[in-house]
Amino acid sequence: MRNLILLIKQFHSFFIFLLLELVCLIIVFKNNNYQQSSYINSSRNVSGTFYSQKAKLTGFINLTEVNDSLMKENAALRKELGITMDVNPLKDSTFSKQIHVDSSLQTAHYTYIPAKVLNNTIDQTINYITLNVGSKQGIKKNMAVISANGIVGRISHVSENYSVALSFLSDRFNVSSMVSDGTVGKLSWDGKDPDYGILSGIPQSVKLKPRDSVFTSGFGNFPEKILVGKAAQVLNGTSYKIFLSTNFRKLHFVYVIAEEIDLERKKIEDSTQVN
Amino acid sequence: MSAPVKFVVNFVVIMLIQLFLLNDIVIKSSVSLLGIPAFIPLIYPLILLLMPVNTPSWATMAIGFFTGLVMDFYCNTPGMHAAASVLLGFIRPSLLSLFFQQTTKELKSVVPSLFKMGITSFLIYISASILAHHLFFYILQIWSLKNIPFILFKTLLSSVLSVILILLSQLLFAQRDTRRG
Repeated sequence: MRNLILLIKQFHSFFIFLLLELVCLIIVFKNNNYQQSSYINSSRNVSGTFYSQKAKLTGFINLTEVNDSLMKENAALRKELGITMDVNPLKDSTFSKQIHVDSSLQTAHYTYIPAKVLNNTIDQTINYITLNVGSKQGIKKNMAVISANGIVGRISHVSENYSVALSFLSDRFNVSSMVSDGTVGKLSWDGKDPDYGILSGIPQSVKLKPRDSVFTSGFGNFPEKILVGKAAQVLNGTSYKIFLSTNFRKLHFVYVIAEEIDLERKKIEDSTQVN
Repeated sequence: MSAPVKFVVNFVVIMLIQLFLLNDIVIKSSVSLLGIPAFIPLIYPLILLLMPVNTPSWATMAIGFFTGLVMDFYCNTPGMHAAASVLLGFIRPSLLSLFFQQTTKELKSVVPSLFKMGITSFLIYISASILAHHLFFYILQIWSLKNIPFILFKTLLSSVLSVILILLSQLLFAQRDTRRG
């Protein structure tokens, strides 16, 4: 017993090191699976308030850039107002559209909740975006987040006033996407370049040309026909490098899609899975 | 200033610089040119590195744990900054003993700085600790065997930038040794 105490006394710093490191690694690997909600995230009130104060202080730096992007968006929307059957989700904060699925008619109701990006990272392997909207504004987990240019991510943590979205720039974040002729593939991120995604699972018979557009297919979290990006490079016969249409470096305003039908569908899909 | 006050001031200032400025730097510049991955400099280990020499290792580890957890809260990286900082707190005393001839008891509360240690020793001290911290952090973050070159590359890029920033901050803010022998 005395020897044990002496041993601990002699190497006490090493034991403290092991203990603290163990605590850290437990936190790391318990939260490695990002579907589980971790306690440590920036939707907490302390960090959320910090980031909103920071956005207030530093917001003016990006003002010209933000104005520019809003002007461009306005111009594009105005142009598209003249076209009758065009579906632009950002035309109004609420709208409904008719979807033909297997020749039966459904009506999907979309509500778009505008949100301001308080914090955004692109340098990690799993990136998160902190938004200034929370459960008070009707944000729920798993809602899709898009920007004026393309997809952004989906909500992973919600608090009363803030929420955190898992960015598309995360490994294991897959988006079901579709090329112009209707072939569906899987879009993911390789963890390196924040400008490019990898589209895989396209059969060899379908040849994508450079600058061909890629859209969401509507099978996943995102509504269909949202621009994802443009083909940039053929990697091998079935996968392509896609230049993303969203610029994650300059993300200032995003829209959270509150889609009732999708949430209901998700509930049913989740209930069939036995865990 | 007494040591605790100095520590709190250091902590607040360095954290604010890290969270306000450095975490954003990467987003506003086009760093993906030439295949360079997006990275940010991390200078918050400076909080640990600038503590008095005679601080016991349990204290540096505890402070490292706390500092890392604060970073984790803001960066959405559960436990990774904390793990890397605890490692840094553990290796710091043995690293310091390499560069000071006297034992840590004789030195008392000397703060390691550019002018106390001389440029070479200070550079080695800073680079070694930053490299260890960043390497452990990026291993935990990327966590895949097939990306080992990528981990090393990212560690190197981030460490070089962090060391340069730390040297600059020392030139600006460190107390010059006015005593001449």
